[in-house]
Amino acid sequence: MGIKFESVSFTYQPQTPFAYQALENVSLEIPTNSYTALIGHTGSGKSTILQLLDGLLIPTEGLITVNDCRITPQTKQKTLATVRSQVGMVFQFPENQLFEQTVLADVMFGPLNFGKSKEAASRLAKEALRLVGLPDDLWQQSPFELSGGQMRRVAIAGVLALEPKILVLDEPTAGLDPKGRLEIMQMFAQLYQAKKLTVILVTHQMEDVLRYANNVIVMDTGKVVKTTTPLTLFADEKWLKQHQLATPKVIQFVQKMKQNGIELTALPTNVTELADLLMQKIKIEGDRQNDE
Amino acid sequence: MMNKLIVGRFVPKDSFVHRMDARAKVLLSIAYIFIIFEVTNWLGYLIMGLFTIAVTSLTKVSLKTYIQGIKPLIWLITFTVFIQMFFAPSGHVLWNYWIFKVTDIGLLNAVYVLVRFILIIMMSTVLTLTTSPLAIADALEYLMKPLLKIKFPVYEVSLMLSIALRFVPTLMDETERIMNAQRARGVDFANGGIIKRVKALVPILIPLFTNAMKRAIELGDAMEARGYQIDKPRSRYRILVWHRRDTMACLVFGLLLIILIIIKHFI
Ligand SMILES: Nc1ncnc2c1ncn2[C@@H]1O[C@H](COP(=O)(O)OP(=O)(O)OP(=O)(O)O)[C@@H](O)[C@H]1O
Ligand SMILES: [Mg+2]
Repeated sequence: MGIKFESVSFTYQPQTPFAYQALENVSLEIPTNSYTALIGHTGSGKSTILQLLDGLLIPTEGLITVNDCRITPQTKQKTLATVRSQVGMVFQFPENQLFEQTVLADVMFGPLNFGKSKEAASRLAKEALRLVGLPDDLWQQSPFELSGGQMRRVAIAGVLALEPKILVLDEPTAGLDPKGRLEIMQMFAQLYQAKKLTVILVTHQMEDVLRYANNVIVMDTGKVVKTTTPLTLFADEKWLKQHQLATPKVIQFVQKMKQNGIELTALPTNVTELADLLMQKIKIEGDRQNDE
Repeated sequence: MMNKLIVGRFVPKDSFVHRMDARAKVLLSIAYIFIIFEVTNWLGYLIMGLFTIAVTSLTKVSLKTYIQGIKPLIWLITFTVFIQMFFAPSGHVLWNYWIFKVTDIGLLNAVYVLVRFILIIMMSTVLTLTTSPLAIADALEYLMKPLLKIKFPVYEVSLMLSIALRFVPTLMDETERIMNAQRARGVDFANGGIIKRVKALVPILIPLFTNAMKRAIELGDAMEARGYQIDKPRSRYRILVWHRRDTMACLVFGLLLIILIIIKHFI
C-alpha cells in the first residue's frame, strides 16, 4: 500500500520539437499515513509528480502504484477515475477552478461527480466549508465576488469535500497573507492527525517543511536527490548550501548559538519548541551555577 | 491533445528561414498559394514538391515535424478530396452509384487537391514555425499600411492581432490546467454520451472566460498606466529589416514562377 514510483520517466509533448523530459528515472516511496514534503527548485518536476500520482498524466516509462491501482504507459484514460477518487488534489492557484453560481454548489460539485447523493454532498460541502473557516453568510454568494483568499478557501473546501484518503497539496498557501497561511496549514495538520490521512505537500516554505512534515523528498532537475526526515535534512548545512536550499529560521538560530558555544539538547521544529528548549537550557545552567 | 498541434507554433532556432524578414515570409507564403493554383500538370507539382521540401530543410526543423503538422488536418483533407472525387461535373465516367459518380477528371482533380492541400499546409507551417507570432503581427501591420488611406484602423487591428496571437499559448496552457483541476474533482471527459460530454465543458469554459476577461482588464489597465492611447502614432521596439537574403528569396520565387509558366505553356 501507499504510493510508489518505480523508474518513472515523463516527457512533455514527446516526439515534437517541444519535447521536454521533466522526470528522469524517478523512484520513490510515500508511506501511508505520512506527511511528506516534496521540495526543490522551480521547474524541478514537483507538480509533474503530483499530476502523475493523481492519474492526470500517464508516465512515459515506469510504474506508479497508488494503493492497489497500477499506472503504466499502457494505462487507458478511462480507467483512471478510480485513482482520482482516492486522491484529493489542491492545485497551484486552485481558485481558477471555481465556476458554479454559489459557493456551496461549487463545493458540492466534486462529491456529486463521484456519485454522492444531493443530501450527502451538501452535508460534506458544509463540513468542508466550516473546516476552511469560511463564514456561512458567504455560502450562497457567487464565488466570483469573494476576495482572493476567500476564493482559495472555497477551492480547498471543494477538494476536502471529497474526503480523500490521500491529500495532495501543490503550494496551497502561495500568495496568502501570513495569518491565512498559518490558519490553512494548521487546518491541514489537524485533518492529517484526525483522519489519518496521507499528505503530500509541495512548498517553497522550509519553515512549513520543518514544522509539519515527517518525511522529505528533494528534487533537482527531474531527479530525486534525497529522501530523509526534515531534521536530518536541515542539520546538514553543507548539503543544503550545495543544493541552494534555505535553512529555516529556528535552525539558523540554533546554529548561531552553537557557534557561540551554547548547545541545545535537541533540534526544535518551531518557535514554541525552541523556546522550551531554551528554557530547559537556562534551567540546567542555573541549577549548575547554584550547585557551584 | 492540444499539445500535438504543430501548425501555428513557433520553434525558435537559428536558420536561414528564421533570419528572414517576417514581411518577406508573409508575402512569399501568400505568393506561394497563388503560384500553386497556377500549376496544372504533374511536372509542375513535382517541382513544387521538391521546392517545398528544400525550403523545409532550410529551416533546420525535421521533416517529421512537418508531417506531424499535417496529421490533425487529415479529416478536413479527406473530406475535401472526396467531394472533389464524387461531384466532378464532367469527364469519362469510371464508376457510378446513386448520386455518386467518379470520372477520370474528378479523380485527377482529387489528387491535385490532395497535393495542393499538403503543400500549402507545409508552407504555412514553415511560416509559423520560423516566425514569432509578434513578428507576423508586425509584418501584417506593415503590409496593411496602404489601407490607412481608406481610414482602415490598421494600428488597432494589428495590436488586436498581436495580443490575440500572444495569448493563444497562454489560453491553451490554462485550458489544460483547468481541465486537470476539474478532472481531479471527478469530471470525466473520456467516458459518457455526447450530452454528458457537452455538459462537462461548462466547468471548463466558465473559468476560462472569467480568467480571460480578468486578464484583458488587467492588460488594459497596464497599458493605460504606461500611457497607451488609441489613435496616437506609436514608435516601435522591434524594427523589421529587409536584408539581401530576403531579396534573394523573392528572386528564387520569381524564378520558380517563370519555370512553372514555361512548363505550363510549352511542355
Ligand atoms: N505542459 C507542459 N509542456 C511542456 N513542458 C512543461 C509542461 N509543464 C511543465 N513543463 C516543464 O516541466 C518542468 C517541470 O515542471 P513542473 O511544473 O513539474 O515544475 P515544479 O517543480 O512544479 O516547479 P514550480 O516550483 O515552479 O511549481 C519545467 O521545466 C516545465 O517547464
Ligand atoms: Mg509546480
